[in-house]
Amino acid sequence: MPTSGGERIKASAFIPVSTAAVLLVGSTTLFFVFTCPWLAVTVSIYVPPCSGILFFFVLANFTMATFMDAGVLPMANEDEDKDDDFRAPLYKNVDVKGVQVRMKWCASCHFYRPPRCSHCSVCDHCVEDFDHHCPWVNNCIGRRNYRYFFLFLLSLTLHMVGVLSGGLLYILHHLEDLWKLHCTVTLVVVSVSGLFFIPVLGLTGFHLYLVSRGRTTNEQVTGKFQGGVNPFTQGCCGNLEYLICSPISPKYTARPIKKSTVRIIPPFLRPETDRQIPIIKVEDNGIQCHDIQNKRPSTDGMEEPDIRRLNTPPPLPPKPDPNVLKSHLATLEGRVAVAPEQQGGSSRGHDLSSELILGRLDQQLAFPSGPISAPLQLNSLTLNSRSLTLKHAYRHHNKLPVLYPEGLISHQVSPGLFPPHNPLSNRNSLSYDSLVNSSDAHYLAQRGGPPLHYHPHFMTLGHEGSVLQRPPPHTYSPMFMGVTRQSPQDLSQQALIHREASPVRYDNLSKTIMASIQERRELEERDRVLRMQARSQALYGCPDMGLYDIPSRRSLPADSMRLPGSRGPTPPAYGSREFLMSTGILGYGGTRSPLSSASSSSLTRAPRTSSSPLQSSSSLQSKGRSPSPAYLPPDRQAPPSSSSSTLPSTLSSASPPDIPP
Amino acid sequence: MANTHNMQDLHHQAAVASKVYVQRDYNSGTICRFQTKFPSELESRVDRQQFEETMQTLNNLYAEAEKIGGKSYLEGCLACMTAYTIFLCMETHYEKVLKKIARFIKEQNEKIYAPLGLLLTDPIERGLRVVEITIFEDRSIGSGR
Repeated sequence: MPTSGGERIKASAFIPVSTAAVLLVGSTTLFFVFTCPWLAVTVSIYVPPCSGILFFFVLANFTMATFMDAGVLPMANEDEDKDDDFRAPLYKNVDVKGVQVRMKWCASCHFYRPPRCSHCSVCDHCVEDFDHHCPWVNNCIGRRNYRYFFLFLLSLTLHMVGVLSGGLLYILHHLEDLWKLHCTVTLVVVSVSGLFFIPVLGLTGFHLYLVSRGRTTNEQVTGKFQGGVNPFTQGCCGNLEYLICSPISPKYTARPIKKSTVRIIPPFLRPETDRQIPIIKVEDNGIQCHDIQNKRPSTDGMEEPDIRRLNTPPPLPPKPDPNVLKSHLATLEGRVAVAPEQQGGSSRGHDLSSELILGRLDQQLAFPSGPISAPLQLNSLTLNSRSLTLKHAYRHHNKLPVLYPEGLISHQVSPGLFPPHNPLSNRNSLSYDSLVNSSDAHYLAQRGGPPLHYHPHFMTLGHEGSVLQRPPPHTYSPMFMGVTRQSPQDLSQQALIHREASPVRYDNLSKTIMASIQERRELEERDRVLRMQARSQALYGCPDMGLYDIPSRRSLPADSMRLPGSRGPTPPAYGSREFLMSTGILGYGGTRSPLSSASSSSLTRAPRTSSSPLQSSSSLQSKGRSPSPAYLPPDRQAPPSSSSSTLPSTLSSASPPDIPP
Repeated sequence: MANTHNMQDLHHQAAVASKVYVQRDYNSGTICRFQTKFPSELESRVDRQQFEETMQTLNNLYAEAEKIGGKSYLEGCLACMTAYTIFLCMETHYEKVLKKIARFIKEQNEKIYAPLGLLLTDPIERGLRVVEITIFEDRSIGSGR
């Protein structure tokens, strides 16, 4: 960003907060000087002190909301993401109180964002329990300062009520000399207060609603828990208690780092090794089961070489046996649920590789050695998928078929080496098929559109079991209509997936497979999209919404040229962080779109109604970056959430151009 | 991570072989809790029981820090009444427990993990996202890990 531009942006960021401060302090001072003396005499002597205390409270909370660190997470060290960068999936699933929550990889901060954490593009950092970026205090509102923001709103509302009523009372008693100084000033103060009272009241009401539901603004506007269960809520009272009484969490940045004085000098002690403990490769410290100790007495000798193999990426192997490939292809055609309708030349390699893997796995799953070897293969696949960078996979995709069979073959010789990750290993074959499907859905979802509307549906499927009763709404943007076409059977398989242990494992397991299958799906989708687009042209008017940070959406016109797949550059790996960094990151910092402030939701904010995108895009264009971005999308909320959307609608229409006193 | 100030020690200071990251356990929500599962990389370096005990104690300390109770409420009230100026002079409850945690980690490092060639990093330095365990090269054995 050029310095002049940066300075301009920096200076303009202070305008709303300065205006708010000036109006607040100015109006209140005028009130105290011109109106309060009469009120003290006429109404009660306690009016000025109470007003004063309340105003003091307003100022204190305003100051804390403005200057307090919201819970900024520092960037991860290089070492931390050394392994993961470019090789790991964009999303990781975690189980929070039984509900699947997705953690997204933050390309700027180099870690998977904890649940409820979001990256603020205005401030360019991740904030814990991110609520929104408030321009009126020029600060992010997050875990550490949400209570101050909330109390500021409450106290401001009360203060405004006081000022309004006091002022009105004064005016009503001095109607005869309305143009005297005192009266005029009071009139001005009352007008200003009255003007901002409605939006402030609306915002207060909105946050009261959020607290009662245990949601953040970010979650509310992205509709994260619209249809599903919110695992973070502790009930209305619990949420209020948490808001008011919880200890203030510490600041993570700018901490005094104490240098460790511990000296580490070899030789080191070793723990007793008399137990036969099989080695478990923990990819990402997911939930692993350790009840394998009594199962692998004979394989210790094999452990060492495999540990090394696990820990270092395997070298690129020579070409596979074409007969093997053919047989796998044949095996796979019947197993893989994804219909390879469109196979471009360049994607063929991917398809082949994913089919290869699946075929290989299917074969091994069918081995009489039973469930023991299956997890082994799944595990070796994990290794391969981790070691084979998506960068490699998608830039040198013709090498992909080369790598996998070799890797698998090499692991085949040591069956049963690795303990089953999944205690329910007999469900591996089923889970693997559903893995394929679910991974598709995952990655489809990642591309934007309905995902966060869609995800809660199937995220909670495993627990509610009402898989078949949740067809996605038809008002999704046409581009992602493809997602809605999953059969109930697929959904039920996904439900199974989510019931099983350690979903994180599955992501790592087959990310490359998923990515290649994803590509195939994309090709199909693009086709569908093109057809839809032709239809939607009439509805939308301008297909390029501009408000989307969804890279795929932006690139759609270009993609249509690459549909056949054989021409053009390698399609980006939508599932990879690399893709995010190359295109998605534009949504974070590059374009500075207002919506990108709640960046994790930026990929998911597809409009649900046909009219809303136009409305929102025009509203965005007119307002630029000044309004609190979190309040804009609410007016795009689908009708089902009528109660929640009415308040935000009021806000979004009223708040941006208005400045609270 | 282990700093030596003595030139002699530099010759003996172990090199960093690798780092293991113990992630947060979000099963119970956003409260601070780390996974107690034993990472495989530490299999040959430390006793599983010992490690799990350390992690459990750490989790207990964080639970204590985040406990919502009378003390935290009083602290909030006091802060409110003094227009939050109390934060300029007084340490919050969480910060006090964090200091306790830092002492605990230092003690664990000195007594248990440094002799094993490991070093635990205080998670607060990583934004309470991970517990970083540095594994040092054991030169006496010669074959690395």
